[in-house]
Amino acid sequence: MDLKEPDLEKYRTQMERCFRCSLCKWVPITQVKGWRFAQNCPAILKYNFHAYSGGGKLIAALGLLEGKYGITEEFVRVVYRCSLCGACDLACKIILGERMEPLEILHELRRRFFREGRIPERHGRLVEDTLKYGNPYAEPQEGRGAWAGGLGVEGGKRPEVLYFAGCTPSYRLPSVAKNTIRLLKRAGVSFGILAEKETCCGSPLYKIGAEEAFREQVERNLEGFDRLGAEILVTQCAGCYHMFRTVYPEMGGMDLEVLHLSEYVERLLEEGRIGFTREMPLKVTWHDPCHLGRLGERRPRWGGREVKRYGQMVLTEPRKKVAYGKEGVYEPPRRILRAIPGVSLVEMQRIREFSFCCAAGGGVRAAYPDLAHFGARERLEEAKATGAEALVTCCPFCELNFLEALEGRDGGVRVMDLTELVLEAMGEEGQGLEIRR
Amino acid sequence: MEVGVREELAEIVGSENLLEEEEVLEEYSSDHSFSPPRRPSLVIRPGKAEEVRRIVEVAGRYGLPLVPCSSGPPRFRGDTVPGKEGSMVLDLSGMREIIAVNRRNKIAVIEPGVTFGQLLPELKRRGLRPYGPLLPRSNKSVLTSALEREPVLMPRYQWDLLDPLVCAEIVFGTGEVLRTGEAAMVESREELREGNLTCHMGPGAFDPIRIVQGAQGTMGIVTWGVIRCELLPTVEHLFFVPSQNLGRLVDLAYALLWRRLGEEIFLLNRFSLAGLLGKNREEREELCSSLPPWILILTVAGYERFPEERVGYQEEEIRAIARERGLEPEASLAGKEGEEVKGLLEKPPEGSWRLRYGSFQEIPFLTTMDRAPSFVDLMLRMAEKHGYPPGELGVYIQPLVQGVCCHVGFDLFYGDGSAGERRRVEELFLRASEALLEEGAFFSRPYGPLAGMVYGRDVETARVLRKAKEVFDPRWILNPGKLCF
Amino acid sequence: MLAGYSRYWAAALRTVEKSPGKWTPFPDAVVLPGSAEEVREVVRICNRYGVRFKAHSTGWGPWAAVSQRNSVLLDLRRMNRILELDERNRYAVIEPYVSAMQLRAEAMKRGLTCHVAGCGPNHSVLASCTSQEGMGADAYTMSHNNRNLLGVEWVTPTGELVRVGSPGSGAGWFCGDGPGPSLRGIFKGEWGALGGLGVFTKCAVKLYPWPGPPELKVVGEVPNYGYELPENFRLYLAVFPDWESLNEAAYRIGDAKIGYLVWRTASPQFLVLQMGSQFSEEELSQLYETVEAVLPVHRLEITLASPSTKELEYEEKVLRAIVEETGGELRNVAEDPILSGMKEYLFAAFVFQNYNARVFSLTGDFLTSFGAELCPDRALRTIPLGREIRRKYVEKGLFVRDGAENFWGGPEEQNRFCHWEGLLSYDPAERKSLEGAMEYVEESDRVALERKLGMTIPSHLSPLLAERFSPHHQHFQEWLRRIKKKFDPANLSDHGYYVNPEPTPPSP
Repeated sequence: MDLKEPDLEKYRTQMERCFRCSLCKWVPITQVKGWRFAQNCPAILKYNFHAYSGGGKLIAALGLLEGKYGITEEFVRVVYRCSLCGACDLACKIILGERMEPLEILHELRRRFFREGRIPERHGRLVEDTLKYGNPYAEPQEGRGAWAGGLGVEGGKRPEVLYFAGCTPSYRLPSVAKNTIRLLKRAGVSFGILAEKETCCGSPLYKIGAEEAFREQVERNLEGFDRLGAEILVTQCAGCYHMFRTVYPEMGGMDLEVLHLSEYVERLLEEGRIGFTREMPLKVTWHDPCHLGRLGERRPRWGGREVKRYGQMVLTEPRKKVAYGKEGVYEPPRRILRAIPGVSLVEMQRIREFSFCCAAGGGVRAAYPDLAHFGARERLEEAKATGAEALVTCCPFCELNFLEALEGRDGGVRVMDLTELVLEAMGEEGQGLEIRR
Repeated sequence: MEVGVREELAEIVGSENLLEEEEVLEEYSSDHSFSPPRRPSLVIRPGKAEEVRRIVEVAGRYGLPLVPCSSGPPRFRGDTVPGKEGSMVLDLSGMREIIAVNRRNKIAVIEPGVTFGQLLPELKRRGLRPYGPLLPRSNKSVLTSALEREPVLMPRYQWDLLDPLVCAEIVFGTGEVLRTGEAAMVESREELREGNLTCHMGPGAFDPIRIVQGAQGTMGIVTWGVIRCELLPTVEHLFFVPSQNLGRLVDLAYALLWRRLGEEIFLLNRFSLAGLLGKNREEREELCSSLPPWILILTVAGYERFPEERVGYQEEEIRAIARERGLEPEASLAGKEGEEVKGLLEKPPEGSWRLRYGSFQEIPFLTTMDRAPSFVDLMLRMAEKHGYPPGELGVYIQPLVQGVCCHVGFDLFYGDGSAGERRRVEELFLRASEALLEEGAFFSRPYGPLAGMVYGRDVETARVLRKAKEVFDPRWILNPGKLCF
Repeated sequence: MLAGYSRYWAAALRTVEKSPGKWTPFPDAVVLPGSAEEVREVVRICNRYGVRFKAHSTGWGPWAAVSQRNSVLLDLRRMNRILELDERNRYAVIEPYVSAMQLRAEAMKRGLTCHVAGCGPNHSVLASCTSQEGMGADAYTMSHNNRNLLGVEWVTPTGELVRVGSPGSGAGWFCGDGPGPSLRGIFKGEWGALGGLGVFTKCAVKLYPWPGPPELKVVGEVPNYGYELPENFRLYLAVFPDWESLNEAAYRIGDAKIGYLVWRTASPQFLVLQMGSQFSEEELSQLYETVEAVLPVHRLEITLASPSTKELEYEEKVLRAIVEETGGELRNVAEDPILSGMKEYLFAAFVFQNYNARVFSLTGDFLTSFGAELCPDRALRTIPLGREIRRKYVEKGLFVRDGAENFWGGPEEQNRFCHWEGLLSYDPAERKSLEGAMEYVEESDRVALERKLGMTIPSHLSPLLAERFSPHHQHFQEWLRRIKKKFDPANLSDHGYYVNPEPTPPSP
């Protein structure tokens, strides 16, 4: 991984290229289905000032680079009130193709801000807590595997699958981890867990630009994976999935096949190792977590350059493969849902690569919980508008955010983890979501 | 009048075109509206645009009001009756050149004195026809009709209320001349004759043409204008759709306009249609008794290519849509064939058709078609309240702007020579107008006393309009006493 | 925070206050009003303290920016509601931050649609109708936004709240004209005041019949989503031997009163280059060389659409006859061996203008020229003249080599008038290219003036460039100055893209 000094300068041409179309604030035009759910960015929806949009941050960064101003408190808020969900990145690329990498620029901006110590105060603690406790919740490391107590998880031998629970299931939503274990056991999968040896994937550190701390977490995890010796890593946390699938391989030393739980369950279904026997009459809608879908796609390194062709036209050489999020994980959870007898799947308007972020990620939940809850409520409204009884997803961080935003109130739609529905359909008992405080 | 004014004006138009005879001044001092009569001090008849400009300049210098008029009598709306003492009437009816008719671009370039009687045969020769209005009198100024936003019969081709007006040469109250729209680039009469002015916009970031339209001559005087025309069909059929229920016809009109079927479309009550078709009161009465309460009239046309086929599929679809609503288009009604009525509508009568039956006063306003029936009900109640026979109320509903809104016109008739009857009708006119305004009628063309009512309600618009007035007629010489000026 | 309101495309556009480049002056403050009453209060406060102000909605161009310091920018983003959608009477009442794509989607659910301006459906409908221009590829039936504006709510530069037209009388929003003269004529002509005459806080906009389904089915993959063609839609290319034949055909099509959409988007090469990043070098080169066979130069993109099969058949018959008479060839896109494979994308691109922003993708900026609304025969003269002017800049490598005939335009209102504008791409980051673009604007403006081709789009957007045209167009700048002085005596509503308060010598 590139740990060179943050270098916004290398993105200057791209920042200059922004022509202020504001499409970064909108769902791709062809996908707009109505007034209510046409916008794609939680930050601009909440704060309204243009600076909060993807393009707005690019322009702000350019002004910084040109020395028009320095880093103010408000600038810090602009940069960090953003879940780095990539919706703006997609929208921009539909127009500019390979000539713009908004998400990279936003990340580089954070690297710069972190390097200069200009970060939200809460993020400073986030780094300390994660390094000290191995999780951003500042919960004791030794208690990390407590959720697995009584589930009969075997140790000792080299499993085929490493189930990586992640911080949120370990400390806040243990039901999803427990459901997963039950599912894997029922399927007869040879799996293992790291339990108290598991440590944060480092996603929050990476996202806020704390790259040295992130590197430490990477090394700890790679060590843990090596020790267990599994071939496949399965996780249901979209954030962890995104890290292990797309970022860790860039850093070397990642030998496991990484699958999201939905991909793995689909595999189990296809192999006949699980089956759905119970009718589940339920109208559901599926929330595509950003890090599973849009950002679940590997973005290979590109060391090329921009060239001019046909006179003044800018192209890349070699031609850069553009990451539109096409190759994210969309179909497996849908196929699973459609396979469950009685379940009827209705789609929200903002789905797949243009899914709407719940706004918890990127360090937002830690530093700006009001934004995280705003995003969650917006998404819950969208789910409710479909007429679905349940909003189903498979990312505990999204789920935690939805539940926290609801604060125990009835949001008009139930939030469910995929594992609960799958287990029930298998004739087993699936545990519902409940926050462990 | 100040010494020297007459001399200056005579020098411009020639003394034979300055009229001061009593009988002439009397003619211009009133019209068929309820506007209080006022004699002008002078009637001026220019023959050319340059004369108009110079006249306005003189009037401005001396602070003398000018009242433009272009149509021959009889007039009805009070807009050409002087509103201030010492006014001079500027009668433009002598400026009657048809400068150009261009089939390819479907426009005519005309002076203000060009009348329907004069223009229609010229258009027809070139395969064109005007947009409307409904049966204008032969000596009505075509340009004035467009400037007054008189409702047009073909809403399908009316993109906004500016249509059919395109562009014009305007003399503003400052004495300056401005050519609007694409005519902004025109430098000579020869260029005008090329007939290639089809865009109305500008020049620049304003539309002066919209400022003079509807202004009753208070902002500027038009010395020539371009109007859009439509093609004369190869085949055209007229249909009547009778109904006991206005709402059902409104529903039909909505459906036809959404589907873009038909060409001309309008609605009349039996009294209005009978009046249109009849030649005298007896005939009107007889027709009335055999007509249904409401009639929608529409035409279906075919043009150059496969005209019968166009007419065929449109007719079929119109019938289907009508039948869904329990209505049936008929080729004849009350003994009148569609062809006959079509012919009648294409021939402007010598005088106003309404005046065949005595005097009348119109209440014209805009609304949306779905509200028209409720306004009719209100008007009928008001008529009854004021002792006016409801069966003698004329109603004309004209869909406009591709169906977005409609004109509603109520005609109130009274006998000539009966002062009492006139007073009663005047009272009804005023009270009904107030009631209609209160209910949400939009008097976009506020003639006479309607202006006071409307601007009294929309004070902010009046205030802003006065600012506009100060730009275009800073000396307030153009038709003072009208609108909010 | 303020930087986001100070950087836009159109680097080559100059005004008195704006130098070449994408940066514009920073406002001193940005406010987010939530209602017309709040807007009025902001304007009154600005009047009280002598502070300039500027309305801003989507910000899709430098005319959304303040032109000088000591200015407050009103970001109208919070005023984003569709207040009313009257299906029967076909209009919607909207606030400034309703985008065309939102309005269109809602209208389509009810059998209606709205006109979309050529900058793409991410524009503010209200801003286009009241303050900008408003020509777009659907103009054959939906005209130009000069036409589509009905009632308006206007906060004048001195803080009066006026409802123009029928809303002022409490009659609803269906009419923008009267009582008496139309105040619409004060603030909008071929273009609008671009923030120089106060703030528009609501308007009603005309909607048009939509003969398609309530929701179009999206097909295809990112980045080229398309719409499935409904059964009752037919998309054609009418291909002609030259521009004159194309123009003649447009006249006849308008006379025949057929057609739903009739337009010509751009040069074939430009359309290919807009998707350039999706192809390898070799593929792109091949496409560039061969595209004219598939998407010819002298073509009209014609859509027929009707709920009636008989009408569709009739229209197709007439269209075919006209195209043959004028020496052309009619190709049904759905039956074309190559284009049929991308018909859904073309439908979304040509008919709905969903990808118009791609014109910026080649260099990060874009330029247009000519572009007045004119009689079709007159407008046609733009093309050979424009072609000749741009050739030398392209040959010098200053612009993108986007095909000689890169004109966007076509018939409006069934060909009553017509629009042709010359598109091109230049790189604002490369000095020679930027200077070339500015020279090109000067040259094309001069030619437009000499040849009576109306006022060019750059001159619509820059009062400085407009000064050249004004003496030959009825001294309209003088009239605008008078209007400005009367309505805004303290000159607080940003004049930068409207009119300079004092006559400014035209550029040399």
